[in-house]
Amino acid sequence: MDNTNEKLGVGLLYNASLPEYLEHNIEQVDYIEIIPDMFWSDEGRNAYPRFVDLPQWRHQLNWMAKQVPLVAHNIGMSLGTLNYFDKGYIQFMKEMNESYRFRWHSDHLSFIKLPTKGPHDHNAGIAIPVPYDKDYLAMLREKISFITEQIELPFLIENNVYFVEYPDQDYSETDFINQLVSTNDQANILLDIHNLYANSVNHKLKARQYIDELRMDKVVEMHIAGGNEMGGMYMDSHAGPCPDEVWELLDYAVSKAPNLRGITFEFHESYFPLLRFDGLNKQIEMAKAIWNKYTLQPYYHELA
Amino acid sequence: MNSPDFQLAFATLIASPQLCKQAIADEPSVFDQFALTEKEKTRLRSVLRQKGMSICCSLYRMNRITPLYTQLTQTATLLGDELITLAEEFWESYPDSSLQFKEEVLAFGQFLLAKLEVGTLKFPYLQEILRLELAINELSYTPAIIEKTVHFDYDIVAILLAMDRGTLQTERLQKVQVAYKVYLEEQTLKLALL
Repeated sequence: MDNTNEKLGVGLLYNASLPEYLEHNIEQVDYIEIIPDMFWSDEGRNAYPRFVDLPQWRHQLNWMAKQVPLVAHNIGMSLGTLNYFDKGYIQFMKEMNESYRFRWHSDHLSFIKLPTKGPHDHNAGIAIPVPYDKDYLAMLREKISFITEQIELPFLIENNVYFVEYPDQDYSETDFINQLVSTNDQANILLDIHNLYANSVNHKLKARQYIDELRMDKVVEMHIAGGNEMGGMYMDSHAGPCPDEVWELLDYAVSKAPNLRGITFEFHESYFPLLRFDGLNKQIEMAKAIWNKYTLQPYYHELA
Repeated sequence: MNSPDFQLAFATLIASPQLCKQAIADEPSVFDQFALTEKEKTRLRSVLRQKGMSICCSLYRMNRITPLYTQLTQTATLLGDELITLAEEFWESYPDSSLQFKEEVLAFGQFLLAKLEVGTLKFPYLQEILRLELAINELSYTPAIIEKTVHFDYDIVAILLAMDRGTLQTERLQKVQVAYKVYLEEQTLKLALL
């Protein structure tokens, strides 16, 4: 089956609190997004086999794959790291895709791993945004080309949440992302609405202007989430339900994204007691209302 | 032209609020450890003085403590407020973390066991709890290993029951050499006395 332009609808980012919810509410979600790194243990570059299945997790993954389409959201490519590209990791992702037929996959516009001489890379602990400079643009284009050549799927780059700003960058964020996806048909955008909202709160960024500047025809997926305040800044902590401002921004963004294929609600598993089954269903219903408002309208298809 | 050293310097600063303070007070003592261009020095100088830098440092600490809280729950309970002090000491001595849960938990567990061994850390029953939780950690992330035999100097079941009652600090448990088979069944811990 050719899934190239299949519109999925509204999904959830899988976490460890979800098995019971999904068992009883699988019909609520149109797809499930997984972080592939959760389902195996990386034993290090020189180990054989390097990636070892975690059986309980894989059992859950296999069950989900039988129920709904899956989408992969990576956290381990560390695309922004200079002089580093873990092709063994990409190869394993290719094998995972052959098993699970992801509809698309994605990673972040940042670096988190730094190479070491040991079997494991150093993990910076947080995803650090890349400077929006010409040499980073060239490096990222090359890596994304390799990924899309190896794994024949749309590959999405997610916009960052950031807490510090680099002075004197060559491009604005929207210009950088637009240029990154302009030369590769399979390179697309994952627009994280909550990251955008957090940046607008913390850095006075104009969120609607950002959406107006972005290549919205390249946006395939959107993320929505909740957050909270820490140390005088608004955090992308995935802390339960989405704030009103995120719903408003989502409505605005979806209206301008003719090739959108999915909206994913993310929450951290520690906030499941706050949401519970009803709270999760409410978030999904609200996202579906926006999804249906635009994807069911004839003019939306004309835009596409 | 951007350099890998900029990324290394930024990541190193995020991992150490003390180093951030040092860089602000005495920039060359930190920046000269890395091969940075003038543009990169300007960028680091700027981010060090932004409010968000302390958020980055806090997020780093939260992300490093998460595996410890998740996999060493009883150890964390036993250590109480001491956990953070010990974790900070561990992070100073073990800065190159992969943040793979299995390795991070094992490294912290070995760090604590070494301190217990030489007597720089004294915590009744911590050694038993650590031995158990390190075995569980290994079982959780190494599917080829289905069970572990773990030796204890105090009965681990009595310790766990006392912790559950909240009376461990006041109870005087009998020292006894025991071994248990430790295994997971449907992700639930099982102990069988050998």
